[in-house]
Amino acid sequence: MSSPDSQFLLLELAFSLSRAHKNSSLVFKSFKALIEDIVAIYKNIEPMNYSGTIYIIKHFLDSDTDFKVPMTLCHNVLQHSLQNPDEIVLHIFQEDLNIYIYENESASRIEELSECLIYIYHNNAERMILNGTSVSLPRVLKGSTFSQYYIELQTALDYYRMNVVRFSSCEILKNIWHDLDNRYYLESNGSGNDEPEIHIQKSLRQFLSNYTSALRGTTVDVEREHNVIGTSSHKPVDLIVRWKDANRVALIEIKWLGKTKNRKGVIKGNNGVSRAINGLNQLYGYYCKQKTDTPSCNIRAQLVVLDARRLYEFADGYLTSKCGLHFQNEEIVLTKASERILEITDFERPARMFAEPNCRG
Amino acid sequence: MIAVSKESYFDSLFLANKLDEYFSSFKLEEIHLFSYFSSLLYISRGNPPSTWEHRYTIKDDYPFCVGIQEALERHISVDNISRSGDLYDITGRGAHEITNFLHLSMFKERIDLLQAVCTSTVLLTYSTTIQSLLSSPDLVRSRVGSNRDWIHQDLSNDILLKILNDLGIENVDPLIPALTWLEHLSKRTEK
Repeated sequence: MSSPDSQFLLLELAFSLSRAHKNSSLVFKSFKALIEDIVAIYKNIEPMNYSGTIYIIKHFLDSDTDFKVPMTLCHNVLQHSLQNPDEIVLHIFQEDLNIYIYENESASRIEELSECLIYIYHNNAERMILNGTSVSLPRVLKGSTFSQYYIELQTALDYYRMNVVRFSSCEILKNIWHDLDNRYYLESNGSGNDEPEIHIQKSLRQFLSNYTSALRGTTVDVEREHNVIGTSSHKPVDLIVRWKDANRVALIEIKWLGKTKNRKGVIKGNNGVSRAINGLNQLYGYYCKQKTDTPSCNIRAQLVVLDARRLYEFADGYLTSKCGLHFQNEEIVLTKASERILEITDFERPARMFAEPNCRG
Repeated sequence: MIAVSKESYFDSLFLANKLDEYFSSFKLEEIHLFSYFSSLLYISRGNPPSTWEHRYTIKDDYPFCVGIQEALERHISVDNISRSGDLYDITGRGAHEITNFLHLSMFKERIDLLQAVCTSTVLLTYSTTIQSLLSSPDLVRSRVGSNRDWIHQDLSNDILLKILNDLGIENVDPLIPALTWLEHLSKRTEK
């Protein structure tokens, strides 16, 4: 067999592995079994939330390895990963559905194992090793190709940013504007249901609920009536996404930036970057409480910021593109304290979504 | 009661079980789509299409097989599959039932092919997988033709065989042609 074309990354992976062993059908069989088990294991552990190294070993003949340390049955993979933040070593067997663990085994010894297919995840990169040959897996945006839950959520939010928020292409989202035709000012009348936030929340909820092709197996709940346990009543997190078959939740807090007018046309408020920073701090509070309440659940915390900032310099009653789009590419500069929150592996960077106005000139 | 063939009964339940396992839930048209993908692998091994026991037409842009649909309806009626909004789930009964079939040698080749199709999808995102499979040249051709004829998979088969031939791949594990085909389609979709 010749080498596959380089565009076939997955094929290259399978071939490279098979070349490292005389019995290619045994390699493919183990490859399939390993993939299935990685998917099953990652229903419990979210690799992008794990800062250490994950090793998963599959022996071709389902034999034990020649490690000196004993192998023990793993009853709870997530718990094991939480107790071992630097490294976990899991051994799987084809006929035995249990997962076994090794403790205190060195990385070099694991990588030197013979007659085994070894999967390694570390810092958003994955590879497989067979008889000393190491093959990298195609990189995904973040985390693992075998755990798409949060990656799909990011894809969905990106789609929402480009296709819904950008030109307010959603009937619910249109309600946030004082002047829908031009989209210069948001509308706020000072009470909960008349704030832009509630419309953004409803719009995003509807979008995520309908975006089933990507977010398969999820429920998206508005948490207005359901506080994260432990918080005082009046400020719950805006949205919570739950996955049916995996221990994942995503907390989504929504903020908006820009100037508002009330129904009478009076300018009422002006939300700047500090609003987004407050949102991040708020989200951190929800995150801590959720973590306390559900310690066996993987959490992803996401701040969504609808950005409607403009430079208000009018020409003949209209904003020019220069003014209307002035903030289009201006990322939110966070404080040092806020940046520290984002260093927590469970936090995504804020998703800023710029809502474009209609400009002339 | 309509007689459901053993191949339809088995294939639909196997795919339902796997898609539920990988993607939490599934749409009925996705069972047809993955069955269609499996049939391409079967044909690419040199088997005559008639012995796969399923033939497909186009329905709402997806391949559609009457036998698979009747089997799915049977599974729903006996509670092997349950409905949850727009999506479907395998039930405990259904998951248990499929394990009874897995040891039967008569389904050995089918299991290999169906399994390879499902495993290959794990390596791409769900939406990419579906979009790629829906862009199969034979499906596109049938949609354009907008007729009710059976879909002929000769075009896809020729392309797949040519790629495998160019790569020097002969009779190997079905995972290889499955990965090859999916990657080929996803690259075309990206362009």
